[in-house]
Amino acid sequence: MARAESAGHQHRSNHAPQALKPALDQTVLRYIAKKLLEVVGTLLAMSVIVFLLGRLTGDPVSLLLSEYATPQDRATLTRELGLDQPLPKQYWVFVSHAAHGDLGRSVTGDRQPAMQLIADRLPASLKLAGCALVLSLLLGIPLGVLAAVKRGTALDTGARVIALLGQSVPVFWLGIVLMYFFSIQLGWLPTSGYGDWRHYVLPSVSMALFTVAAVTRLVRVSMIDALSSEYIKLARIKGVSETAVIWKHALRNSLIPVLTYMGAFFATMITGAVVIETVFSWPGIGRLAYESILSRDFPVMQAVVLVMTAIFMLANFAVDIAYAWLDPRISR
Amino acid sequence: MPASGAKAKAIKRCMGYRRGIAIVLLAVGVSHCARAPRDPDTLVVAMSTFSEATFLPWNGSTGRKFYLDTICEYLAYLDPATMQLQPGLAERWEMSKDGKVFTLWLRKGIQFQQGWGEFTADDVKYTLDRIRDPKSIAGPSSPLRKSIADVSAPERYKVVITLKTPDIDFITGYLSNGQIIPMVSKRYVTGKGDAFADAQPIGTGAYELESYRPGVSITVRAVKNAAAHWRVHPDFKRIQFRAVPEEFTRAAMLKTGEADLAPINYDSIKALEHAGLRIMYVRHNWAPVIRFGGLTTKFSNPNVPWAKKQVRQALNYALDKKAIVKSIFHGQASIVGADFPAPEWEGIPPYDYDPKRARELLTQAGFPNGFDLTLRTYTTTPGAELQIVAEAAAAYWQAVGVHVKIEPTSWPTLRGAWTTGATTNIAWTHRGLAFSGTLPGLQASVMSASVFASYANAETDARVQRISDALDPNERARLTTELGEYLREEASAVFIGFANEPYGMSNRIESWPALSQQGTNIDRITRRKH
Repeated sequence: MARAESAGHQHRSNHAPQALKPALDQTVLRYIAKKLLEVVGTLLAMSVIVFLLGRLTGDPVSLLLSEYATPQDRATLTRELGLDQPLPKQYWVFVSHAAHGDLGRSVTGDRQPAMQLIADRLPASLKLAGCALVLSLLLGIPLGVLAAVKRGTALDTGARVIALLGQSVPVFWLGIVLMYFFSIQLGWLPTSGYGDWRHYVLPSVSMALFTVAAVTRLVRVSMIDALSSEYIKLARIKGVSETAVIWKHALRNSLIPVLTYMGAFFATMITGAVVIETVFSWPGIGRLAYESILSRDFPVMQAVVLVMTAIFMLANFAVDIAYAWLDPRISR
Repeated sequence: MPASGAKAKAIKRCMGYRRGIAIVLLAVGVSHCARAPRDPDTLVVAMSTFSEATFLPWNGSTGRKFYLDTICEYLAYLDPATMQLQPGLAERWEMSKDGKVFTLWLRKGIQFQQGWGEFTADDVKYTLDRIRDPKSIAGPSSPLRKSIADVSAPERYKVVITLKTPDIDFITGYLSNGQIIPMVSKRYVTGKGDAFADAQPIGTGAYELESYRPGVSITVRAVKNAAAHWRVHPDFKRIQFRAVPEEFTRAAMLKTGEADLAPINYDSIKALEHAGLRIMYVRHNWAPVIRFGGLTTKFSNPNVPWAKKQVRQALNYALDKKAIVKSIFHGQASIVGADFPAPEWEGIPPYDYDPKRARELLTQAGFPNGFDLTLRTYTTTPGAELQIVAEAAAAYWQAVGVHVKIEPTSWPTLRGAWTTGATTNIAWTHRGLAFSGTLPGLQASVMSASVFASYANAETDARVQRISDALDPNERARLTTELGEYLREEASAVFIGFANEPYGMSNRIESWPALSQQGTNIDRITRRKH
């Protein structure tokens, strides 16, 4: 039995020594440099897109002007905000300041630095995404394993239906339905807001369902693959218990794709939280994006999109590096 | 073996029961501990937005009145029942015979919060000067820059405001709580700086800021000795304002008791009433209206069909206002032939619903087969119903041969297009909000100089000027009504009526003496005695 268990470990550890070696060689370094360049290029491209799209859909001057405003007031405010300058000059000012970490100031209210506003809101988004991610793994992994083990049974069909629903149900609808049952009908949880653990439940569940579906599908496919592999057959021949085969040997290898996707899932949760944060009045970066778009607060809008892009790109970068580490062929 | 098998089964069954009991206990536990207890002394107001969430009057828009008015106070107040001016921080005032000089005598002994001294004439001058500053983006800053010639504080409790042109309603229009020029402490703002004063505002109100959590809540608490406050005797120790952008969530908060007051959509009224909640209507708070592009001196377009008066009248006749008010506004609107709520215009009759007359007018105007019209629409708060209004209008106009293409947009996008003359060939739904005085409303909507005018020409400019010049209140009211009738005859827009804005209200609230303007008198909400 001990020998059989070691068979699984042997299979897992086959890649590690090979992967560690190229991690230090020129190929991998070149790969990392290439990916970093891609990150910078994407950020630059995104800065151009958000800069232009924002200006195509209106301007903050019209929103800041009162109902009594005259053309002179418009001209004064436009000049004060620097929006009277040609677009290339405005863009250059934005990019050159951004290169020094200054993403500008909000054009509304007391004109706080955009980065300060993001720093105020980011922790709320990180906490919510963290909760949702943990929930996704706690639900998605067992569901995926059960679906693979009970392949072709009602349980498998049920898990696949859950996965299908999770990836097709609109999150705002799900959020509203959950709010209706658990807040209005049962009175168990608060409808919205940001506070103690109670406030995390509904938005986390709403946000997690999509990822639960993704994790379930990933784990199911990997587990089916793993369970039909030679080392699992060997373990069974050697008399390893079915529980150990499934939860110890097969699952460990099946989690590799899930782990590599975790970063991307987390980034998606932070950057894609606009709807959830609006429905549940969650004061995160998604709602800041929504508010800045509504008020055409260009500097905040640009800063939020750039920070979201950076989070997403860095998460993908981490995944790429993880892949390269796990499978050196990718970096060649 | 069979015996041990039976034992195993029994153990399994027992484990199953235990799991079931544990789940039930967990559910019961969650249901008991998850419902957070409400502080009975806190009034919770769910707002759609905090707007700019800034506490200095010159930094933002009127959407902040909900919370700002609990901390700071005004020189005068409007009586919610009669709409007559009442003394505020100014205990009396006088207007010169030419309607240009206003002398105000301030109430003595009013103290700023946190020991920042007595409210004096210097504070009034400072506040008005900051509002008039070119950098100010407050709503009334633009007209005050034009109208005020000088503000002086000759004595500690006396302020003299000199206008460039007469305006007998100056106090009502700009210095009352219908507007957003609350008084700030000069010593505090200049001593601490704008940033500090904005983060930790003080005023003379019965409530002071307790906490501000960006995007979450603004909480104000009653000041010490609030019971002795000169104007308000708070019924609640705290008022918490929460930013809740989604209307469904606000309605849910009312149902669960998490909020006591929240603006809602008309479609939520029945469900909330069914849940035992009360609905409070802020009377004539806004007017749904359809505006035409290309009808101002600055942004004129003589080529659009509605450049002809008959076409605009036809589009008014074609609309069944009664059906719209009944089905979309649940009967909570007065059908009036005017485009923003004004007391002088409440009696202006609407266009009858007469499709036959509409077709005749279109034929007379040279459009017997109708024409194509682009109608842009959006939703906002208040105004979530504008898209449905657009769809209703499109159906009615289709019946008289006008083919409507509805283009959904956002208020910011439309506002930008409107103020830069990019809407001269379209029509759009709009909400005409109530103004603190009819004259400021007219200056905003029918004066050629305003970027927000949708019908403005030499005639309207001259009429508004005559209203402004009128020193007799009755004469001013008569001229205002005449202008309303003129706009109605010209069909300057497609009129529907003056809507009452619905607010869901918990049973903890006895009364809210709200004005037609948004967010007024929250500090005067009274608590129901059980």
